[in-house]
Amino acid sequence: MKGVSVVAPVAVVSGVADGVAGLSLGHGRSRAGPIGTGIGVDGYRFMREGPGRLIRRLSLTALDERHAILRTQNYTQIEGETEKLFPRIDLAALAAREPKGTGSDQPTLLAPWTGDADGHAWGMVIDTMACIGCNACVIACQSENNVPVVGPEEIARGRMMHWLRVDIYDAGTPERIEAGFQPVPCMHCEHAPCEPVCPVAASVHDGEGLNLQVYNRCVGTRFCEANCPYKVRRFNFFGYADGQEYANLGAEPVRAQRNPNVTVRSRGVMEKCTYCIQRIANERQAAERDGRPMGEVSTACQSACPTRAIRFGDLNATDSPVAAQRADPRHYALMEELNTRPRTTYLADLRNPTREDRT
Amino acid sequence: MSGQPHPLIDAERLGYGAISAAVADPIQHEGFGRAWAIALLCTLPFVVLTLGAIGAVLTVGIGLSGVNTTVVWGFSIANYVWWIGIGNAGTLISSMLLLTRQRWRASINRFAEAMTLFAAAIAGLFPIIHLGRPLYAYWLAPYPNTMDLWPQWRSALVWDFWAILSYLLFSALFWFTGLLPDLATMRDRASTRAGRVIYGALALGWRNSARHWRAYETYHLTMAALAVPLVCSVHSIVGLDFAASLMPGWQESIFPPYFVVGAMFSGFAMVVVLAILIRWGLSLQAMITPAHFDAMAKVMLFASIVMAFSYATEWFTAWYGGEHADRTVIGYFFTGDYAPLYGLLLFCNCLAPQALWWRRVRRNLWWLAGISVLINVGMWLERILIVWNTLSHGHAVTLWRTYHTSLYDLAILIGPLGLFAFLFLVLARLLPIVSMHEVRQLARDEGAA
Repeated sequence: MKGVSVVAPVAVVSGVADGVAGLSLGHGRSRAGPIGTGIGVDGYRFMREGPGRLIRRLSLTALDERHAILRTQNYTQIEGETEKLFPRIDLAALAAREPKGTGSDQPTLLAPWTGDADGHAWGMVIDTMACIGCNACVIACQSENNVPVVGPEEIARGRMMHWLRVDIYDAGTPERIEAGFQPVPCMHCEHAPCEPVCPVAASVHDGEGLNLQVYNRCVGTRFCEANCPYKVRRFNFFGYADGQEYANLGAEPVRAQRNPNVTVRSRGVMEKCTYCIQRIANERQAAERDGRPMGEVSTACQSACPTRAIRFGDLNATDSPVAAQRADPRHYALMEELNTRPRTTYLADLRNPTREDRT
Repeated sequence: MSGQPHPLIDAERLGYGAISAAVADPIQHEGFGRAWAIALLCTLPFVVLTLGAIGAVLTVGIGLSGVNTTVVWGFSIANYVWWIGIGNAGTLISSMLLLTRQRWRASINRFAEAMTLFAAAIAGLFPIIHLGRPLYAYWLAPYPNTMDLWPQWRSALVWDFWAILSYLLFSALFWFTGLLPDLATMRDRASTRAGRVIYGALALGWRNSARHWRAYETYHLTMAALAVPLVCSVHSIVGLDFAASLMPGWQESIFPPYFVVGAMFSGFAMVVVLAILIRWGLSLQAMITPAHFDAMAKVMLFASIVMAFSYATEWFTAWYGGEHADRTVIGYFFTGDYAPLYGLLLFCNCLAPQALWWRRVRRNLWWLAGISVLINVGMWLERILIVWNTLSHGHAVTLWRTYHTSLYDLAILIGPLGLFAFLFLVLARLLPIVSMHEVRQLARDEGAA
């Protein structure tokens, strides 16, 4: 295209043919306030009048510049034992498979589980076959739970705050990728490794199987995150939402946009996925008001998922769809061998190898 | 050397008066001169750096450190373990060597105990400033409150809180009461009224009577007997901070004894460095002799072998246990991001101290100083790598990350070293740095008095 050129960093990822680069629209805005102005590159600059969106005569030129591209989603090649983290099965394997990871098949010295004394047992099942890795759940969670934006400097230091991440696993080759996606929120383990290590009992279990973080009790030793095998806890290294906000996020109108039902965390405390406890509380209050049993509760990530990969509910409810999924032969728990007995579990990725070989 | 009549006293005759004069006169009469003042001035920037770093982290937040979502611990924890380890040797010298009647300890135990006190006090700072909300550190203490909230007793950090607290109280008490007869000497030799009043008040009415000595000896021996299990428990609990977890590379039953020996190792190395400096700075060649260094070098050599054996045990059990996560962490030691540091650790802690097999090396202060510094570097590396290797390479494969060292980290690494030297210089100006009454006794036993 004559006269227009943009300079943008390119992330080299597998599965993209040589000589091809993708550029998303919507970046490179010139008037988006301190937080958005000048972030990324504006692809609309290639557009010309008329309805056609097909642009010809475009060329890609590699420059000598190098830019660090900040990523929070790590890309993992499946090899050896990482297969256990993201199992992929075919139809034949499915027929022979039993549901795994539902609990007490490991010997333990721990006391028997009594965490569901209050009648409900919240759980979540995520179908890795349905997940397309779109990240809508991550953003939905961020807006629902007042998760602060920390800015590129903090991301570069490895300090993201998202309560769930989408891990990318690849079992293929750079020429023919076989990518799979795995959203990882808090597992709400029945035998949660974060709880016994907290010196002030800020990490505790409630009577419905939720692993809670008591923000105003937390002193910030970070032992819980050190001991979390899933690394799903997030720490306020600075007052990300509490006086040391990134760019203009501390401005009054921005603060007013926060979800009033969710506590804003202060500097030096640990936070993590709550299974949207405010939505559970809402439903409980509505049910009490109407004199009926509690109905369905859906988490923010679940509501936003376009493929219904995430399902949340009460394992003790009659005809609970989540409980049914836990009996699915594809069912498994992440790092089951640690006997943490997670409440967030997964359905394995079912593939049709013959068909994929043809593409 | 061997032709000398008294290996532990490097003089033909050393009378009681001469001992007291050698130790007390620089404090009370002669002054310390320019060298002391210059040394103190050199340490001041480090004191300011330490205070500045602490002020900054309290004001801005723990984000100043290089910690991230995956590697949530860093320099603070490594420094804490290292400093507690330094303190450990002081208590071991004054208690275990007292119990086993190692008479050579007499001239070095005073500053070894002071070293313990200062090191433990510096170590105690780190767990507080590493917190996200340091102002609530007291929540780890079981104090009565309106919400009936107690600490969470299953957490190794609560055990650690008690370990540090009891260790600090004990070392302060042991050090101070060990000073009593010497404080009385200072009182009696003081030429000014202020000196008589201050040293007199601190001496708690010590009159050198046989009854005093009887009570003192019984008390001192009892405290020494208490100190040995305390020293072991303190560092065992520090080891449990890691071992009582679920992480590969931490969840190891060898950690408590391995931490105790490691502490003794780095602590003795620090004592050697300080002894060389003090011997030179205060001209105490008659009381701190090559025989002392020879004995301490043998302890370091022994500890080095135990450490090498512990590392090998760690590798072997990871392989033999067959747990994939454990094996990958050990593999990461040797091939991962921190592999050069791990190699340096093995050189400093296992290889370099092997030179101490030779008597000439053990009695050459330059060699000994070099090896001791290497051991202290190696032991610090060991502590930081325990934190980094496991956290950077845990169970969650997709969140493997490395640590980014920040300026704040360097400040809290270097600053406290100068703070420690500062405290020592101030101490040397105010109190007898060598235990006069114990050296007098040694001189008598050796027939030199």
